[in-house]
Amino acid sequence: MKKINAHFLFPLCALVILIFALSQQMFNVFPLGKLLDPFIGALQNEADQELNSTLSTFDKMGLADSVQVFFDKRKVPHIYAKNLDDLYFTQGYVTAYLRLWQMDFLSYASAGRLSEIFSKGFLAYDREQRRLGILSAAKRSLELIEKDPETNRVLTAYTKGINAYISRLDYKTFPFEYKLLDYGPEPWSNLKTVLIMKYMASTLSGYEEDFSMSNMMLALGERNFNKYFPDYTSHITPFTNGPGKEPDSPLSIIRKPDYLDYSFLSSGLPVSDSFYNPRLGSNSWVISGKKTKSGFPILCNDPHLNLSLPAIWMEMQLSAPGMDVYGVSIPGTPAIIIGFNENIAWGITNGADDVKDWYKLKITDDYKKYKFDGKWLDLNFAVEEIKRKDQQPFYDTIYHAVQGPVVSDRRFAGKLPGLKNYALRWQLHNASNEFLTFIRLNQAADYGGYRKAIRSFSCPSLNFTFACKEDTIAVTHQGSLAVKELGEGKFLLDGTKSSFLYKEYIPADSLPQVINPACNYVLSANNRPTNASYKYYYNGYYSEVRAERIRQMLDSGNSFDLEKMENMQLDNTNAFAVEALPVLVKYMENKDKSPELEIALDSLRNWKGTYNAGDESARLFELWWKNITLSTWDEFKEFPFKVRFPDQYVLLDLIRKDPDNECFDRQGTSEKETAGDIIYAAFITAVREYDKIKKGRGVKWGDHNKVNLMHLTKINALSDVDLPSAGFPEAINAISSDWGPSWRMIVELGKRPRAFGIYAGGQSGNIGSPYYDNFVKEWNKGGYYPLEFYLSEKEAREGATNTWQLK
Amino acid sequence: MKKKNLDSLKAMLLVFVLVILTRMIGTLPWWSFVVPVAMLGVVITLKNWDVACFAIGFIAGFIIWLGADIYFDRTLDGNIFNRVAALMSISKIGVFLISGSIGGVLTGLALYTGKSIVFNKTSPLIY
Repeated sequence: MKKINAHFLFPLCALVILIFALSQQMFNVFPLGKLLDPFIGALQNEADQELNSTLSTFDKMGLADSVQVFFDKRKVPHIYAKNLDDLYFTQGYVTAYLRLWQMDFLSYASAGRLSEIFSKGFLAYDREQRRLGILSAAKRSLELIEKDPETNRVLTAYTKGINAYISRLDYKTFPFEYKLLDYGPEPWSNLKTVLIMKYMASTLSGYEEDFSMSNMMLALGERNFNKYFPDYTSHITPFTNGPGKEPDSPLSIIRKPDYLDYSFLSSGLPVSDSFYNPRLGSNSWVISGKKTKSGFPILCNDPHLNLSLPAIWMEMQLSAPGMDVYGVSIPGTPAIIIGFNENIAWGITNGADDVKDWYKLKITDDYKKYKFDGKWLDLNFAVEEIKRKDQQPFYDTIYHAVQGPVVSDRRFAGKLPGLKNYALRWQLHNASNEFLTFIRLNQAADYGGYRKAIRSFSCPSLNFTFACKEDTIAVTHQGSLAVKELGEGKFLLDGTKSSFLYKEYIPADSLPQVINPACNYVLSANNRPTNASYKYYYNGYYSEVRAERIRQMLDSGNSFDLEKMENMQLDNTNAFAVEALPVLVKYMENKDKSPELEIALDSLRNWKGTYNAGDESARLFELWWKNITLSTWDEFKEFPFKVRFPDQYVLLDLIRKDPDNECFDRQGTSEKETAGDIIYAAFITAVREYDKIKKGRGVKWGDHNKVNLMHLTKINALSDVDLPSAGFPEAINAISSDWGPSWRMIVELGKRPRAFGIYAGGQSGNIGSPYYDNFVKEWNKGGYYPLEFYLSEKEAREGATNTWQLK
Repeated sequence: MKKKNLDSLKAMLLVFVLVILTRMIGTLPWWSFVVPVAMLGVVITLKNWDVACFAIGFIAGFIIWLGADIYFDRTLDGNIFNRVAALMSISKIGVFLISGSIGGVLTGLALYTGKSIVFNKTSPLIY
């Protein structure tokens, strides 16, 4: 006789508890049981079957016609479709196959939804992101986009393609990160695509320093402020009006706004460093055929963005009737962002304009009203629902004034506590359709097509460089730039008056632009696009050193070829160091020097301003200049706010032309120091620091300049870290620890475009794939891959290592 | 061969077959294999086999998990366990062993649970 035995309850409970524990993310440990299950867990992410088998067929995709995808040996997809809907559908499908988690994650990060993925630690980030208005801006832009049939059609096809891929997935085939973080992909939407574009816009246009400039203006007074923080110097390389002139017009003197005084700024709270990186820039230049060996124009572009894994870029060729284009796309957005077709090539660099302003509001204590033009207006609000993993949703009340959202208020300080009760007005908030620019550029065949394409581009402002086969070269500083009064937008604004709201924009035809200049090249490297004679006032965060170096190099030759372009993109010379070094060394000539100082100075005399991995003097120069800067602006240390030092060229000009300026007088000494004293003392300190480092980890530039390609989760194990590297943010090869030339491209147009390129990463976003980071080593060495732009489906078929057929 | 050895061998082979068959059905949850294994445990009691269930289940599960780990790691030619090992700050072999132990413990417990569910009067219960 058999009966149930109660003793089974104990092992049963143990089993159930164990299965439960191993299926969950607990105590910050990933779900071990699922993840380490060999049949469906992490190991299955190694199965890049469809990237390896010769032919894969995908049926019942709902396409109008069949589509062929040819992967070349670097796994660059070459998509051949018979109509545009199928083409963008397939772009979505292929992109999702290679990069689904990355694009999905970025859309969460952009929308302020990370609390849905991580159970703790991201609520403040999400609130900040919502309050900055990114999600609502994306929704507004989507409404506009849906009214434009051309763009809507592309976005919709792209979304369908991504969803076709997602619907194929189960746990086993989920990208690894979903398994690690224990969630799954949600269906894609056009909104998610827009969110990724807004994410890029916020990265490129998020930086501003209104708070610190307002404080600086008050602390320094008008005279010194204009001297130390001029909008125009003689070191600019504008692309429109020729080389810079010393600005002498009184129009370029910035006046202190009347409302700006200490009581206006009296928040008493510090402002932390901007969490946006002002140095995310790029280089691009175009050389006319008159200056190249082949007689055809060459276009070069290397956008400097955060270096991450998976990389922000993905290479592909898109081909359909009326369109055949090669380049890089941003996973999650359709079309090619930087690239070329048979007729044209284009590049982009950040316009670096200030398109973000803060308005100080006068709000009642109960947050019901705010003062505007003498009247008390209702302060609107919206309640944002922030969903949270394993918790009840969080509801955040966000107030809105006529200028824009109030980011920091009585309930939330976030990263900007000093800007409590300020409204943010950001060009990014406005509904705009940036996609149309790229959709049209992809199909453009001449200058007219390029102009028509870029017209709709609004935020961020970008410089679009252009070349066409017929040897037209051009650059346009494109974006929605408000018409401002002199100095307007440089400081915090008074939110109680409507007169500080911009109403007009610089007309597209008046934006800085140049076509076929006499010098036979155009360049753009986040430099100021015009000199002081430009009729509109604009401000921003421009950098001039790289542009200057590019100009010097392009001026110095006449028969450029692709190889010379590679050397240029990899040039590690800091033009500023080249200019400053003789000035500094001269001050050292008649000073007492110990033998150690003499040796150190000699090494600098022989240094050419290069930041190659093996260079030993670059570090010494950096230390010297750092100490000069700190000693010169030592009076700033007493300011009770986060200060920004004047530009390095401003300091160099003071050393050259005004060595007795009061800024060189050190605080707390009885004698009056001059530039010479500062330079001498800074050198002694620098050599001492340098010798210490030499005994430690070494002074070769590569010992110091380590690049980290961080995985988006910031988990080291999934990243490639500590790669010794050449380059310097002020050199053309602008490599820094976590950002730099994310994509290097060189295109020579002609009967058949010849192009080379490389990016820091690999085509696949799958960390288990050999194609996850297979370009990194070559990229860091300064290598390039020939870009296989096939002119026909037959060529693509012959070059393919594997093929997909979609029906 | 002694009855105990023979029964153990039969049980282990059956565990292999059941687990692998269950795992080939992709739509089932990852832990679904414990159900047929527990049912096998019931059969073991009913059939009066002489098997140390937890031990046999553990060995079978461990071998399947570890074997599958090694097989997929080799054939798929990827890099993922190196990353996972770095993530857990242990060696790759450590990851294999943890994975194998998870398979072993779950299979062992499942077989033991199944065996414990019913009494068989003809033989005393072996714990």
